[in-house]
Amino acid sequence: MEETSTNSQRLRTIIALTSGGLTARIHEFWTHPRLGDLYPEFLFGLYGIVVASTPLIRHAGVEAEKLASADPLARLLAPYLQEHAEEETGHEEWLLEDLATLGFGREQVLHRLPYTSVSSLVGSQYYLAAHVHPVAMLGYLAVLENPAAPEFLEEVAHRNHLPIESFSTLLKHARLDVGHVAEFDHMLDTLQFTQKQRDIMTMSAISSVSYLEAFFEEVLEHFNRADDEHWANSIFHYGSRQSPIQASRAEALRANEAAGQLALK
Amino acid sequence: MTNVEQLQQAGLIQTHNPLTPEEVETVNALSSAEVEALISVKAKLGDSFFQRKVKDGDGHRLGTLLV
Repeated sequence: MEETSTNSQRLRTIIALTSGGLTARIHEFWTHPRLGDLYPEFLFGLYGIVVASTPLIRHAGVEAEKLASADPLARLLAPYLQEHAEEETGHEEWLLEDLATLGFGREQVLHRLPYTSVSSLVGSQYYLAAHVHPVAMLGYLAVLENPAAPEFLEEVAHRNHLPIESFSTLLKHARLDVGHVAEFDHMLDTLQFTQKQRDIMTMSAISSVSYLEAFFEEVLEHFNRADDEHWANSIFHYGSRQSPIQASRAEALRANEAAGQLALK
Repeated sequence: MTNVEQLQQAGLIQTHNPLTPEEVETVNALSSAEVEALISVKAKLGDSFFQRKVKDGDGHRLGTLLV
């Protein structure tokens, strides 16, 4: 059967067809009864993805550059990916600032290991770019670059009593990326793919949907473990975080108790 | 055997939850490598019912993520 759809329509249809489980997890996440308490945990997970964005896209751009002399698609991809890598620069700092507004310092974030789903999602793209073809990056970007609407994020912040400042990364993307999806699709429609290149892009999109679903499952799993004594200290709770005043009171209390114990000896 | 039939056989398209004619057209035009990718990640295409349902309401506001 001869296809009449454009590159972007075809890819978007495949992504939509395979995103049922992912959409269900995302819906479950944003409507979770404890979202207000555990939103920092999501930001931590997201940090793992965003911190890798610029190096990953740049890596794919370098791989495209290597193929450029013999591959017309790679020749077009190389400058696009290099430029896109620059656009993503520094966004991980936005996330660190958002986490700081919720009481989580840079050291706490950097001390933790990333989710395994994050290393699978990002790591698979390094592999595809280096050992298969950097066109895979287009499938990844088509799945991940799809920000929520600003009014939805504002409503979530309000409903969960979260400071709007802690949504700055998501809101900046939501506001700055207006039309970004359409631009990306337009770019996709100007490219000529071989059957193999198209297969690689589709495979990358399908696996990204799958790993992203695993990412949201991992976030939700952390939510479920938050009350377990064994895990509680390693999960970022907003509700249980202490303000500087509370922290200094607790410190003073601990010092008094220690002094009391010493006096008893 | 068409791609749709192949994916039904693999349990990835729920028979009680049929695809739209446009989706059937897209799926049947997939290459064997693309079908293999769907099978390898066990992408349940029938679940798109939920996705469509949310999208028809206000689900489009959820987005996916961002990089």
